[in-house]
Amino acid sequence: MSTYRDEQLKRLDAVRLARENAVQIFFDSKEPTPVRLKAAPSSGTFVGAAEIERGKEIFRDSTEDSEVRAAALNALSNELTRDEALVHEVIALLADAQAAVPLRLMAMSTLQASEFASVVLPRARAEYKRALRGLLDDPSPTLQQFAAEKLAVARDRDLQDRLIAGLKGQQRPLVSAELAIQYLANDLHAETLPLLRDIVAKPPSAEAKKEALRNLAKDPESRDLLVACLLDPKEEPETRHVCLVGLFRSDPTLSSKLGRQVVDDPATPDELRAAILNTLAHLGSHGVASDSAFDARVAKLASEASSEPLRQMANTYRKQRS
Amino acid sequence: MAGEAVVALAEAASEAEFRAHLERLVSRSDREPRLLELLEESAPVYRGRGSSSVIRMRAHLFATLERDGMPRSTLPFVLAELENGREAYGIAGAARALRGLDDPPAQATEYLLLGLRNIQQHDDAVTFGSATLGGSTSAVHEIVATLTHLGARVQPWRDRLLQLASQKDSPLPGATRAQLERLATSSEPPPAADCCSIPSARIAHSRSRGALGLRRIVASDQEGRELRLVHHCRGKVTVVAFFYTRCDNPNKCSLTVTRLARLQRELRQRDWQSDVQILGISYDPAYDSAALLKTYGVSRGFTFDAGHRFLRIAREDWATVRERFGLGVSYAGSIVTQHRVELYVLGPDARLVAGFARLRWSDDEVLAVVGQALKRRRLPAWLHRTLGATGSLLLALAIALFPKCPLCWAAYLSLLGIAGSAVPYSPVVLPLLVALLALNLVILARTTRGRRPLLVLGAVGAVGLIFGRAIDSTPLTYIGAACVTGSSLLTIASRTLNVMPERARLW
Repeated sequence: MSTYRDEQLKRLDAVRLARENAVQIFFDSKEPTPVRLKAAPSSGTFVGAAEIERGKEIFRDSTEDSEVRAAALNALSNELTRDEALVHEVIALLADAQAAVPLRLMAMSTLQASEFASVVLPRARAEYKRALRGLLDDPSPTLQQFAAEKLAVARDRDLQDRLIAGLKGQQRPLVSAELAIQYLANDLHAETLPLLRDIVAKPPSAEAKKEALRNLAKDPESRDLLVACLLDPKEEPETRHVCLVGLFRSDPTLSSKLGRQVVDDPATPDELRAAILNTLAHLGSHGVASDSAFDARVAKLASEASSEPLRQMANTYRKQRS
Repeated sequence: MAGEAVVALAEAASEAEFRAHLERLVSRSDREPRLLELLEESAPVYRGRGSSSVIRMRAHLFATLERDGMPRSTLPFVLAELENGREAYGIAGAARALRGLDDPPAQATEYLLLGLRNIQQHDDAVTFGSATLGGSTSAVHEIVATLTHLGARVQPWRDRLLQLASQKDSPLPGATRAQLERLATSSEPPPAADCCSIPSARIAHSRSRGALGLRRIVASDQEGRELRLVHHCRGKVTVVAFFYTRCDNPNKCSLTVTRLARLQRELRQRDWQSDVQILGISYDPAYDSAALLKTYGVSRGFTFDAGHRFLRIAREDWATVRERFGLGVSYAGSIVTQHRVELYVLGPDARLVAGFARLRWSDDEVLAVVGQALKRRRLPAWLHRTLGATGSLLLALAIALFPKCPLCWAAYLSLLGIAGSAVPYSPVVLPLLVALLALNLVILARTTRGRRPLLVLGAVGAVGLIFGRAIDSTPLTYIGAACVTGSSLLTIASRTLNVMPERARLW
């Protein structure tokens, strides 16, 4: 046991020494930039007042290489959870369109990481939201998407207005139609339902139509629309399946009944029948009385269907029902 | 003011038009009532809009109250936003509005601190979209600005302010904490007397709304059982609150239901649980299924029984309930976009006794109203229900016993000790009988909604009686009378038990 412990202590010591060496290399401005960048990951996060102070100096030094500064910021991520002034600096950097992209991307990821643990980020929340809104028009697509996702989850009103304007064709769209619908889905209370129905009627893309139908599941008044799409043999199988799953949210009994009806229809593509059987197996046949005739037909599918996925799903359904 | 043009705001007005409308109101003599109309949660201008749009519009209205003066009658709306709101726009606007009061009450400090608690973890930069309303600000900034404006009035809250200023890991910016500390340690003495009190949550209600016209309203509860609302409310004092399970503001619906559970405990402590019942009614009946209602209530400590239920109103009746209660709710399609906190107390006759809205009701005040309503109640619950249903039975009995021929007259006269008299049979009797039968059928049709077999029985009885009289068939007459009487008796029985047949779907 003591041999094991000694070995572990030796290993820990070796790691500590390696880290200290890496930190020293990273802090040494005379070392070539590639060498410093190679040492950066091994230095981990800065600890102790001296390291943190030196790290801040490098981060703030505008004459330093931007990737070195970004690495310094990365190592200061713990500080971001408690240093209010540093948070303000990093937010300002994020919003600064003139700053180097690697640095701004690092600002983005460190702020994102600190959202979970930082007690000081709420103090700068208003400023952070303002900076994110500014990023919606940023030339960097990465920063733009980051901002859109963050604001979508926060149910930001300005983002919602722009997404809706984009879907209506009143403005250049910020993101694709299906992504805009996904973002808007974060907020039940956004005024999107009539817009989603319009998109179903005149879809800019098949993906957009699917997303619109998926999100219309929350609207009881759209039940008939979902039923019509589910039963429409001209619809894409995936779209029809989205409608079935959506109906489960609002009316599981009806959804189960219609699901069986579609499976029974020999004109239904096998992939859709398989998907529906999978859904029925896992979401259940709520309130719909057990139908031995249907179960018998599924048993027949399990042995005779030409499609392997359909046979598998038929078997899954039978197992769940038994 | 002479010469004022009619100012109309279209329901589909844009936000810019709404703001322009507010600008036009500034110089009008009727500014105050028009502002109150626009502040109503169910105002037509909010219909069909998403909640983000509604919040911005109301926040802008609040902000103009600072610039143009805040009528005291708007205070409940402003305080409710601080107390219950979770959006930076609304809270910022409400905080600003208080600075438009001539003599703000010191108690407003409590609401500002509530607003701070609600928003401090997710403050946001807001702009009110008008050059005269300033540039970018935040909810926290506006709250602190108003606390500063209140000055020495905040002194009674100094301990809370100091706590906020010195709290470890506070979400408030350093500058804000420093300002709070300055306010708390100010040596300025508070005013000698506070000008005004904070309004109660109790709202005035129209006496003409009396019985609320709920007679035909059908609802289903958290177990899927159907009931007729007015019949369920008769005989007991009923507390009714509104909520919906998809509400994302924990200060509103979730808290409302939790507080209903607390009211239940208070009722049990007072031994009122058999005389008072609590109903929660969903704003979102199309979505809030029985299972959702039950889960929502149970998870917040509400105990369900025969009296205490959560309800969803039938589709065709929901507009009536909204109108009769005067609910403060707005929709975009089927989605609730804004609503107020609201609770009503109905007396044993299902008439509205009191309403509480916007601000959080005081349990003591609600229980006091309930206690007064209980004292005024004179009949037990079952007797209320039975008496309410006996109109039809009395009429049915009168028809059954109505003299339909000379022999009947002779029998009655004999009973009355006037035997032997000959009474000529009047031709008025048959038409009168037909009229009474028709009246009975009308009453049955109204009271047997959803129980058509009883109406059919009554109709068969009526036909039997008339034909029996026409062809002079005594057995047919008696069968007809039995059917008429039986249909009324069965109607009373089913209403007393509040039994209704299953229907395919309420929505």
